[in-house]
Amino acid sequence: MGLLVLGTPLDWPESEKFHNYVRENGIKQFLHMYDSFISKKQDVLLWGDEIEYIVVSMNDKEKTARVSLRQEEILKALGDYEERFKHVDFSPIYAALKNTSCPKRTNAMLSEAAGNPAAFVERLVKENHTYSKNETTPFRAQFVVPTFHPEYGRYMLESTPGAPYGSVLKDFLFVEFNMLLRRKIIENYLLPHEHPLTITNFFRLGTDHFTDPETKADGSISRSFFLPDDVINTHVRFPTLTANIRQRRQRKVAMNVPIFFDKNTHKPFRDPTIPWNRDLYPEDKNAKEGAALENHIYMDSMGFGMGCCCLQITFQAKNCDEARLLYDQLIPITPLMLALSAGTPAFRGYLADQDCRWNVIAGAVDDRTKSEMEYIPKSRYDSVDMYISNDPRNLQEYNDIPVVVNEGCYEQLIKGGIDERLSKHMAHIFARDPLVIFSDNIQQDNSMSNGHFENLNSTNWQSMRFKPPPLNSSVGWRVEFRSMEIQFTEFENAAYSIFVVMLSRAILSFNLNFYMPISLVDENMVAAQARDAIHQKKFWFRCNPFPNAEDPEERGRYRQLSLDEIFGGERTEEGFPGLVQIVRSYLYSCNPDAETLCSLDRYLRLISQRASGECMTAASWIRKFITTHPLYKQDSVVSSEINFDLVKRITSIINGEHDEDLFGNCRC
Amino acid sequence: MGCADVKQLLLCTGDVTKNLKSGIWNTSRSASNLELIKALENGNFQELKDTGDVADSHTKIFVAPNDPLQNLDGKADDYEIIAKLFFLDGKNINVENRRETTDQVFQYLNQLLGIQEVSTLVVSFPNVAFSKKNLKDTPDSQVYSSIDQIPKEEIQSWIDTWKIFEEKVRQGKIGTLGISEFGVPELEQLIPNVEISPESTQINTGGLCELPLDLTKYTEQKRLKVFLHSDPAALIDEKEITEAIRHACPNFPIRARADWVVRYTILSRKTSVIHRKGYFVKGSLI
Repeated sequence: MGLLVLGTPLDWPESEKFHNYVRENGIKQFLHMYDSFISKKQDVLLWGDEIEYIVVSMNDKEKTARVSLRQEEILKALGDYEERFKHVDFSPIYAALKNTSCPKRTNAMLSEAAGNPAAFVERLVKENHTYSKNETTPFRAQFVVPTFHPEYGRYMLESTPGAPYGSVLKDFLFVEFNMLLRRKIIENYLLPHEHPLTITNFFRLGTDHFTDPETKADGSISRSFFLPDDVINTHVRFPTLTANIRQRRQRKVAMNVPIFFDKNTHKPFRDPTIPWNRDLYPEDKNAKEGAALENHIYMDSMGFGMGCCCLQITFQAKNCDEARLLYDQLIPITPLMLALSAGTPAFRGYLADQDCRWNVIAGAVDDRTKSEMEYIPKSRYDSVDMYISNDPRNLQEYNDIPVVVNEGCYEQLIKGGIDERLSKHMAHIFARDPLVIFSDNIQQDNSMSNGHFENLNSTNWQSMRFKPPPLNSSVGWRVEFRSMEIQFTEFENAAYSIFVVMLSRAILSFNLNFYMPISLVDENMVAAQARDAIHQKKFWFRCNPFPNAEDPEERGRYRQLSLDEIFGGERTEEGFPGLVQIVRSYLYSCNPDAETLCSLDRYLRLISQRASGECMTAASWIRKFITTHPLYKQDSVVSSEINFDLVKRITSIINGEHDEDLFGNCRC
Repeated sequence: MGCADVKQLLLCTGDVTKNLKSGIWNTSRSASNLELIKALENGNFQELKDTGDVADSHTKIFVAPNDPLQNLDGKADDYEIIAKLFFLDGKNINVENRRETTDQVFQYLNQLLGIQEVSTLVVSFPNVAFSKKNLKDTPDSQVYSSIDQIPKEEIQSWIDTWKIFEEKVRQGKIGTLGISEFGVPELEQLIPNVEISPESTQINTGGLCELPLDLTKYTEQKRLKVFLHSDPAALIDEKEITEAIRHACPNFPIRARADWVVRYTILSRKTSVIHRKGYFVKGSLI
């Protein structure tokens, strides 16, 4: 989650003095980066994923599942692993994995690789001379040790491939193995009763006794009724962020998610678990003064949002223009992938009437004051507000929602030679205040550092992020796709990631045009989070994304389609062929060998079947598990026992158990 | 326009990827030539006047306008060029004609696209299909339902034609060779009798990922790769080519037959983006 600088953060009143300083110098740093890198052409597709995990702690005797707060220890051990094996060439391991089709054998190999990859490689190379290790290896995922990072929650972990995945279709075959290996490595450093789950949120986060070890929700940093400060990562950045957001907005954050009304749910629903009369902190009265809405699940801390896990992918474009084009073309896709990956039907022990985490995170870091709510339309975490490409197909009329900019920054950018659209984008990013400023990091050499720029760019959390090249690196202009919810298994996470990457290739190969008014994309974001959006909702879509569709008649042609129609096609003569069919056309055109094609086809099948409803989304599956559980009382409550059984079942699915509802026949 | 004294035509679809009115989205999983047919239907063909030394005077060349037939930008190495040559002379196989065809194909690739060598050339012989089910006999094509039905001369023509490509490989014009729709029986006839073995067999399994056991065993043994595609057994029939030619040259009342088709795909190795993809269709008036 952004940069972890060492040092002392300024408290909020102190830091306010430096806001303009950070902004001004952040822009200077951007200008410097832009000038240095605008002609940078990285003609290679490189990309990577970020996966987040929740470490659960199981007690089989008491039948409880809690979140384990041992993050610091676990990360230290993972860091040691990285250090110890940083010179190992992992490629023989992946070669061996590719040559096996037996799941037991695959699992055994992953365990061996997770335990001691150096020894495993030695053994492989000795036993089979077709596997060879290299002295110097390219900086690619299949050659290097994966890396692990802290995240907001003290029960969370994040893993990345260690180096980017490469540019040819064959490289996509390593992705699932890489993800599997990362989980195995993590498991090695957990206690026997702990498991790393890739679930969007912990279903009983913020209820009684949800942590291991036991904690109490009375901390002064978040001042939450439900979340102890102990769930926040100890690195000083995280509690500072939490407290500063609360201080800036002069009240606690407040997320209200509609409760799912079941047969026995109290109507109206007034949450009995809210300690309405607690009087530890001045903010305690927020709830009874209207922050906690009736018929909703009230959440009052950053941890409910940033303590969620998601699936993010970043890929490098050929140059700045291509990055801007891809950024734009993927914007309309973000709500669609959000709906397809939905995995969050329960919050704080209650079943909600929505399936995604997006609006909860939006609320969790919303630093707007009451008066700012009047004229700043969105939280700093939310969907993108404007298109930024200079492609002639980016018509003015598509940017049809108000965009707040910092005028000073805008002028600074224009004067610095940046074009109007990119200036507006950056000035919009810089309209927010820096949330964390470290005292020892205020003085920076703007030609060598980008700390001030990153301060703001990384605390604007949007559905797509535009990332200029980092300093001192060969990496180029990149875009990050951020809307997807995490899936239980590596098979699914690989499928969703690879689908987006292949779609980006199809967009570039076929010059597809998905532009439509941002206001419609925003409507789609709302629809995407609805309960069972697959069946219940329709989404605005540009039905003819193919070139030569620029005549005036085509400009207004957006229709509302179901996700099945968008992914699977309209199944009529002149209808939209479907994103999956477009990707498949792209795939076949690349003349793929049978092994590659069939591996990738499993992923396409999963995407199709999730969109059609043939396979359930994680959210629908979780909801079904809860509501059909023998102990469920039809009162929307996710009790401790239900929670335990749910976590246990997810753990067995991760370990290979089949589930027809989730996978159909796709995960072979 | 002088269409009257012309015996042969070459239709160049131009890039079908950036002009998707050609119907790429209709490419079904099992077997479809819609991409080609739609490209021909929707093409706004213009006669290429300055043919230079490309073709003989009997062939008129029609190209799609607004399709800059420029050279590749960047290094040739950065691109993988896959060409598939469909011989459609099933009723009248003549290896000398095929030699001429091959030379012409490379001339056209060079003159019209700036391509001097291809990474892979996949050869498609007429009358052969890997998947013997769902064969439909059309007036144009006749697909043999088993190797035993294939006349010895035709099998010999595979071997003799292959020699033409082996020469091109030696000349550096082709990187690797692939063969289309050949299963084990067909491969067993070809491979022992040629010097340069195909690197791959490219088959249409109707979208199925289950390859027959005998094929996997054979290809593993012979170190052959297996590729999948979605082309039909007969890429374009008489009716379709006649329509296409009439579209390009509206004054033609006569029938035409398709002699051969080349599909070229230019893929960036570094970004996996399809740079260009298109077809050359050679037709003769009957």
